[in-house]
Amino acid sequence: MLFSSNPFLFFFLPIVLLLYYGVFKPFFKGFTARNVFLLIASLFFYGWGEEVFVFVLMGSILANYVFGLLVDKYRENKPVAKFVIFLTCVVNLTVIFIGKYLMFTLNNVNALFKTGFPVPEIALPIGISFFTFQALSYVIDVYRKDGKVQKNPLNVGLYIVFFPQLIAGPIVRYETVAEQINYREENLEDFSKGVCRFIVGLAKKVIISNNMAIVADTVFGAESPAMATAWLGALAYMFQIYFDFSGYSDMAMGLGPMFGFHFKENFDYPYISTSVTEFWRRWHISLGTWFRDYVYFPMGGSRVESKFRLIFNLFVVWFLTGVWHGANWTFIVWGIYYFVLLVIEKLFLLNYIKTISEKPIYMRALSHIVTLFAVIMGWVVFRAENLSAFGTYTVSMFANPVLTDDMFWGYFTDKAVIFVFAILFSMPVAPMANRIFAKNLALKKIQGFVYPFVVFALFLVSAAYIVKGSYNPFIYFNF
Amino acid sequence: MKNFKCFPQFVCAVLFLIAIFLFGAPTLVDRADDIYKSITGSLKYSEGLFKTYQKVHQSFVEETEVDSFTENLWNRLFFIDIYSIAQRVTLSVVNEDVSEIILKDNNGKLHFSEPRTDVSKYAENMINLQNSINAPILFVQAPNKKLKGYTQLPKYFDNFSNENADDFLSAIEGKVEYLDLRDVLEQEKLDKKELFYVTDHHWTVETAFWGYRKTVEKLRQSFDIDIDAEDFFSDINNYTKYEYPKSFLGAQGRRVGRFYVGVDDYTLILPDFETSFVTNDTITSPEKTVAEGDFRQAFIDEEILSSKDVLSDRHSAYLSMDRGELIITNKLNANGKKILMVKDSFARPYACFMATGVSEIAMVDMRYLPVRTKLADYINEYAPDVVIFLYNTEVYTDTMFRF
Repeated sequence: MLFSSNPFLFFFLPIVLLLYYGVFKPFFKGFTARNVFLLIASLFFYGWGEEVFVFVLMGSILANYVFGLLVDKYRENKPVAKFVIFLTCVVNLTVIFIGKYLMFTLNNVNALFKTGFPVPEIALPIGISFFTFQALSYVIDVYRKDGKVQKNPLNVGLYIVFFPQLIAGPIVRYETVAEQINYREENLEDFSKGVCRFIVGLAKKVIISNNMAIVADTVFGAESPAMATAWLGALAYMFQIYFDFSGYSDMAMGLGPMFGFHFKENFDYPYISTSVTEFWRRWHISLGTWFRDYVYFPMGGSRVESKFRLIFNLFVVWFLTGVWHGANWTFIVWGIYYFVLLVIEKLFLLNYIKTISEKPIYMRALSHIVTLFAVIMGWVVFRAENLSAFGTYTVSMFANPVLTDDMFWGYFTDKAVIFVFAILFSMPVAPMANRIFAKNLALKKIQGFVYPFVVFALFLVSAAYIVKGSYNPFIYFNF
Repeated sequence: MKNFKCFPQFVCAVLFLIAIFLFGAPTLVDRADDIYKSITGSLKYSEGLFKTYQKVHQSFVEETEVDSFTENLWNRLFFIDIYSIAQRVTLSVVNEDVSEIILKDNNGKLHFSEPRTDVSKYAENMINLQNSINAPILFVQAPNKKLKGYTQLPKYFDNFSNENADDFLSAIEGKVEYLDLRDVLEQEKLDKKELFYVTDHHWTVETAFWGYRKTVEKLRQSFDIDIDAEDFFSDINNYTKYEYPKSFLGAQGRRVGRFYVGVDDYTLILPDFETSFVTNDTITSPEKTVAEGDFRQAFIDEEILSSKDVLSDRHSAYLSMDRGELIITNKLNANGKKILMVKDSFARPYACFMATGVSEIAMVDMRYLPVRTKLADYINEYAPDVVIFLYNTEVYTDTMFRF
């Protein structure tokens, strides 16, 4: 089930809220009943679109529950504990490999070695990369004593499949919510803020991202778009993926507090970055920190003796980051592309990046433009169907003698207002506005009065697009 | 509450909760029975536990997601209207959804986007049909809402159905007789503003009447078939118009809301002279007549007409719906001509007017005609004086030319 869908907004969410606050909170002491209810609701949410794979998910919960108990029991016995961690990785990565990479691997093996291994048709289970990483996080955090082991398998289940973050993240670390599972406070303030955050996320996804998706999908699907059209398509995709992904994260960050859970921020206006390093500090933060804490640091991170080892560590992380995003060479190239950029920055531009805030404005502007250019080119390879399509598209962007075509003018004029919204809201205009309002009492009062109606209007407009059946792609099928 | 710092967010949360319950609860209550039936229905065909589970799941999800909370969401039009306001605010003239693209033209009228189609096989089928039947065919090309010298659609998004029709007509030229009403309306310099609804793809009833009159003239000229020798039935002065202002949100308008381009007026045209008809649906209910009586009693769907709901499809006021085969018998003209009309939805008012001057019309719609029925055999068996194809430019599809 998708957040941006009629059954979620008008069927699932009202019923879950009604039962949670109308039955389970007032009539059952402690958090057990509430947690069991949220677990069942989350499995229902997942099973809505994955009626078969939901059983694999349940198997994964049980397996990781057992691994958690084992690693907790044998923590002091290092060889056994490490074997359990190894087993945890093998089991979880096998599930993700079969669900996500088996077809890709066999196809490539067959092509490379002229073999004829039969390639099974496996429909990629939605959200597999997110919940597998969370499952790994649970066992590793228990091992590291970053969170207490759960004696109740239902609590492990709730951590792994809690519906707000299940299919599109953020990847919630076990240490973040370990305490909240059994000791959390649901209150009106969090609930109200959560609703507003959810609506903002929904609007980002439905109003901006989906409109950008129309442009991006058409242009990337065209045979040979004119130069300006190809750039328009690349820009549209840049905004689509940001507003989609950060919109989903906002919805999760909003739904969590509605049930007393709090997650860490996942996006921080990445398109205002002045370096690729900064971009990755602001983009999909939960994935970056997951790889940092569970892969990069255990390998030694940057505190290694040789530059070669540092580069190797970075390569592993960025290769895995690329692979995590999907079973396609485009994602691997995308990961390696960022590896190259980040190595260049780390080796040659580190001092410049560290002191960028002290540089003249034109230098910062130039850095911003160069970073955005690098990011856009990254998105082009990320979005392309395959590497050959990426090549063709890049030719259109840089070498198509035809500057504009009807497609460009058609979309440029029709989506101009949405593009303006996209540019505006990819920058921190809301926090800036809040700061301005906070300084003036009259403005603050007006803001206080207008705010609920503006946000509610955003909900109505978003719901209108959904109810109408507007274009509403789900871009996480690869993840 | 004294220290409550989030009052604006609280107000928003209350409004949000009201909205999701207000629209969700009535929908669930209204559709609970259908959802229950979909589950119990799929339980009947037990094929083992797992397959039954999958079937129940599929039925439940489909019924809940598509039929209940999408198609039949309580007060769905409220949201469509909000959509229409949002589209106006964002100055968008292109409305893309999962199934259709609706375009707004320079005159504020709505259009479907239609791709370029290879129509050569359809032309071939038409020529073959003419060669294999005993009656002459008159192919009447109804005009498209995209009118030459009047309509401008947004760049890149276009409706190529006129071009498809041009190709088709040039391919049947000299082999099948045709009447291109698009040319006729250019020659007669009709007011292009009035020919089509703003929110619906169909021609207005007045335009349908004009099309009928031009067909009468063409039948006379090309086939020496006269279905109105005294120019009486095709004279608009022998009819009365009934106006229904701001009463019709057409098929295109229903997808974009009332505030995008507004709501249409609807005009009903009824004859002032005496009439008596019987209509029979020979496929779905051959044993009984559909309607009987004068023009109004036999053809007009009073329920559609009298409904106050703008979503009520006024175009279907004539003959209610498309049927695989509908026989109209004119009881006051037993010795008149017999017409077989292969048609699309444009023909509903058009055929009613035509029925005034003939003894019988068999209306055939290829979309609903049983696949096993071979049209050539059907025509030869029915033995009409003439076969009229009344197709608009947006029906160049395999289904409409499967003969």
